[in-house]
Amino acid sequence: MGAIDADAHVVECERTFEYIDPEYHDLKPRVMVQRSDDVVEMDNEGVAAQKEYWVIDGRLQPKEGNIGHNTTKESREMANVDIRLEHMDELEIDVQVLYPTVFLRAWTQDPTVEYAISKSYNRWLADIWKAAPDRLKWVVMPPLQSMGRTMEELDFAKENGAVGIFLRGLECERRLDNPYFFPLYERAEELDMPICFHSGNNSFRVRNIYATEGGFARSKLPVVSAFHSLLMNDIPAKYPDLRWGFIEVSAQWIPYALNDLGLRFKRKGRRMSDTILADNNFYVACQATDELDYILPYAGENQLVVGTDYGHADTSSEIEALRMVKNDGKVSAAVADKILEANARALYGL
Amino acid sequence: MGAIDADAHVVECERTFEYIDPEFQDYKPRVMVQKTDDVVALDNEGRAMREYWVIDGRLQPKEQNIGNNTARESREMEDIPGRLAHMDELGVDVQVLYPTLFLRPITTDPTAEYAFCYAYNRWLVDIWKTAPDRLRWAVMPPLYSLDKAEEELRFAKANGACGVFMRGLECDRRLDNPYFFPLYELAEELDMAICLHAGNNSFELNDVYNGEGGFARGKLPVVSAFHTLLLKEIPKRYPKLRWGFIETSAQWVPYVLNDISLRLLRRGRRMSDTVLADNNFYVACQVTDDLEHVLPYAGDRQLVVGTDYGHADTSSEIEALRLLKDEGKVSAAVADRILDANARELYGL
Repeated sequence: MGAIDADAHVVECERTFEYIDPEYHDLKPRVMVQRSDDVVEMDNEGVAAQKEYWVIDGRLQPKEGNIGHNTTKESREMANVDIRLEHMDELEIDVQVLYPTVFLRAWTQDPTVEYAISKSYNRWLADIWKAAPDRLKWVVMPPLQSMGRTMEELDFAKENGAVGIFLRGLECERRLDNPYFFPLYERAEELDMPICFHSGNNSFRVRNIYATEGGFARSKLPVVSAFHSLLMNDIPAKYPDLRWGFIEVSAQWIPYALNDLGLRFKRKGRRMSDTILADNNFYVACQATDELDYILPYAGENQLVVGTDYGHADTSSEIEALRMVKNDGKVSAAVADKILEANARALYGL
Repeated sequence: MGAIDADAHVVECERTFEYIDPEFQDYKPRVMVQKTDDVVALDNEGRAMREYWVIDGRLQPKEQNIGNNTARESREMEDIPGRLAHMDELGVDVQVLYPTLFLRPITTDPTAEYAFCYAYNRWLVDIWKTAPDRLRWAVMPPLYSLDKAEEELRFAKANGACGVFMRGLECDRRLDNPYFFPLYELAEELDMAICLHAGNNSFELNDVYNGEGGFARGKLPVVSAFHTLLLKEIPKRYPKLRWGFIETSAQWVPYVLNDISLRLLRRGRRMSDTVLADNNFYVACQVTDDLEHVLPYAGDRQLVVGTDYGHADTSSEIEALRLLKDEGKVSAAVADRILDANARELYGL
């Protein structure tokens, strides 16, 4: 049995944006280095003061805030893909599915900027994939403010190793059940690429309210509410072959969200299926710290995947997550195998 | 043992705003009646809505969340003996009253807000006076004007209020914002619980989630307020202050505590096993909660229960108190605590 890390990260670096179309050169993110040292921000691990920041579309964005120091810079930034692969071997990971870092947050409302930068990011990932096509898969970052260009990026990405489409809990200040996104879902279904909601949100309005909050309300709950909203509004039923992933938000909330949904369905004279995740091709990335014995009856053993959050240092980061699911006995060996491999293969179409 | 309905509602009516200060007469909410009938909005029970409020220039629902298992005169407090008789029938001794219209963002104009709060609070005072032992209430503070909020809290405390009504976000701010610290300090001084009810007072958030059923718009802001207050150790600043989390169920408690404990672990700290009790947090559960799973996380002294009387939504269960008592999901001793002792502690009854 292989082990698939359903949520690993690349950390963007200057090389990421060397792929920017010359036409958009002026939109290239810049790096700032903090010179004053009386007020510093620490990184998530509290071990290092952040010195470098991105400036993207005129806004300061962290560059060093969420860095897992149990990984090397060359590995995180994919400067040396072999080093990443060796570390994966050490961690007994066969395949990683790669997600972004700086783009987990709201970063622009300008469609041109979004397109320029998304395109560069996607080409960087395509080159990474080419270096290890069987082991490093990735999710495409669609420029959602320009749906036409999104379709182009999806086509490119599908031909170049992408196995999913990266979205956050809110996109373009909209909920994910908004019909604006239906062409995207339709195309994703055609291309056999899952929609992968990763912890994060692309709403400046919500982000501004929760700007200094630790991430629970700003990043996790938008994805939980997307899960809820999609099911409540029967969106998956419109795209019966489309798969949906909910990544890096734990699975601990599933009983709560399904309890609430059950009540809402009941008020509408409907009964919620006991296998609602399976019925809707929903997959949730669990964490080794989740109460899996309590969650499994709600989620179903075919609907959970697991990730390490490789490269990061936050509440979802556990570089040993795959080994822990396998060895800590919280779930049976058969279920562990599913979470580690079969379910991830099903979600990502591997 | 009594039975305290920790979450019941009044439904505002034109009489509510007869209490508006004459100085602010122009702010008085108006009622609109829909004339066209080709496009109608339905209430929570599937009936067409005809009447709406216009408040501070915005259309707000008037009939959306109406529980037709209650009489209009009872919901609108036109017939208080009728309300009390219904409570008797339901086996409810005391109700703590919350608003309906004001669960959503209404205005960002401090003057308008003050005018509405003033009127609402005086309406509730008159309601309380008719049954002071059985009808208690949560004061609505005009939070854009904290000086006036202080006046309202003091007035309300002297007139039967047992809590301070807030929502999961207020004034487009989180509840851990230092802006609210004077409010918490005063509430502690006055021995009034801060009661975070399902809802939000952020037009920004409300606009993003416009049309959503209420989970993200109404419930999750309160869940995240719970999370952020604990993580930022706000209750520690006000050690005697009690905090209620109302009408969001208690099913999320294990999830949120799991997340908080991971965050504390990253800071080299360990979350207490009695974190709700340590912080005087009380959560209103629902009879549809998996209480067997929730109780070890919450603690049996930290749950209360409400009927959501007057409403018709996912939290509404007019028989909630009786169901809790009779269903056997929890022991009789725990049921008694949830029905009575815990609510008395939260609300200082």
